[in-house]
Amino acid sequence: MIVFERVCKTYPGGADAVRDLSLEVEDGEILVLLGTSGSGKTTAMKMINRLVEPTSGRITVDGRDVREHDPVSLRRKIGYAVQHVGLFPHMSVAENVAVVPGLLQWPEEKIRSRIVEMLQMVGLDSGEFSARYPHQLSGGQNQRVGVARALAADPPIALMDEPFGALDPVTRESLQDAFLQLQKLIKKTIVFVTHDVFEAVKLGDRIALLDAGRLQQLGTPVKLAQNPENEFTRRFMDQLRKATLISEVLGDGASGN
Amino acid sequence: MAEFFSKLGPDIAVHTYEHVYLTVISLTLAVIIAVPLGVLLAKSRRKKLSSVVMGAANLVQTIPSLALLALMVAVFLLINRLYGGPKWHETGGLLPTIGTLPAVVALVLYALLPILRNTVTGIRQVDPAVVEVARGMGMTRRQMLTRVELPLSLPFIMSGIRISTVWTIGIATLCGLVGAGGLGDLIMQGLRSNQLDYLLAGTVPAALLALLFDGLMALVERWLTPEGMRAARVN
Repeated sequence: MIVFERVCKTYPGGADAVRDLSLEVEDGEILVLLGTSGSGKTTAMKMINRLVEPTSGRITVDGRDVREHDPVSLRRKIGYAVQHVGLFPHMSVAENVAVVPGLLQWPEEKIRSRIVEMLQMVGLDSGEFSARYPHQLSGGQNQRVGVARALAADPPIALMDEPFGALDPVTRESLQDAFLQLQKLIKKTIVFVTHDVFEAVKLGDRIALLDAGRLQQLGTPVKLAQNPENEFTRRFMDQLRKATLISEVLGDGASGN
Repeated sequence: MAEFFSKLGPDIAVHTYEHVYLTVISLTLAVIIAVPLGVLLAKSRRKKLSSVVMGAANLVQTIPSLALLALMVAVFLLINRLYGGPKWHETGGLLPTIGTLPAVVALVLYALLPILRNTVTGIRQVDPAVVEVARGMGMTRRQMLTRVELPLSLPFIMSGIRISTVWTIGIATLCGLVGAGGLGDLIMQGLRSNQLDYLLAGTVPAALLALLFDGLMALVERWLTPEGMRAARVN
């Protein structure tokens, strides 16, 4: 379980990225941090693996303050995927997936079988893809490898920053479906950052909606849509209603969401 | 032709060897100094330090090569006069003022800038977001450097080394003037005595060496460039 207790982050220069954030991420759930750019969602996520240090407040993972951990070994225990950056361009697919197991000094044999297993898990044939380089993959394949890489060392927790951004809608949907299937099997604790309300509703067990560094509302997608506690939440979640209206106007053929 | 080689063949061999020796020693030292220094400068937050060092390397570069060689001799003489004891003339002083040492020092100073500049550029052009991902995955600073930043800047560093190689071979022809040997000896002998065969025996191998080393470095550059980046750069 990940717990944020009254966490604040002020960047030098005075900008408040995160203000007084308190929330809990339950084991095995997908918690979506949802918000526009500048809402503090990515900063909040990066404080879990200490890429960013909070100005005040504390974050605990399984009851232990993250600041008691050595940052390097903490990060190796937490999967990390930032897909708009993507994979390391100079490493093959297999080498990318093997990064964290390699850092943890797994035996060669175990790493090799893990690569095969992980690629299969995200729907890629290891014989075909292992030796390829990121520039030889499609956008969707790149993202799949990114997910495989984040989960390669079997971390109990994974942090994912817009992992399916920059994809065409069709590919994105199929990746989201595959991701949900995968999560049913592996039951990781996942903190998932996105600005896309549809993605949040589809993937999130719960959503934490942020605006200007403040938590607006925390709850299941249905709760946020049906019982918005404030004006911001109502307006943000209204995007769903508008899309539903459009699909009703267009008829059954377009009711994709 | 056969006469030419029987007369000058041994000379060419010896001086080519000296030339290669000077070049390889100087380049190796320049790489050993400039690459780590470049990495440090690129990562240093002290912008002023970086501009001072780069300025110094630039300054060396603006000194004409012949003048730099002469300056090295002068500096070594000065060191001997100051620290070589009262009878440095007879004892030989602390440092030899002619020969390989001043030549190598001058060549190293000359070769530093391209390698230094390209290393700094190479490290700085690595996408900081990629480096942050490496950090987020749990790499130590050293691992980030050796596994991500250096491989991704290697094409830049290698092209700097390649430029320095060609320069060094060219400037090494002047090292004969300070008694360090090399193909410059043959060229100067030819110039002094107006002998075509000596001129050819010096200039042609020097030109061939430059081409050969450039080709070799191109191969090494290709070989060291991570496979994932070869095609990526074409795209």
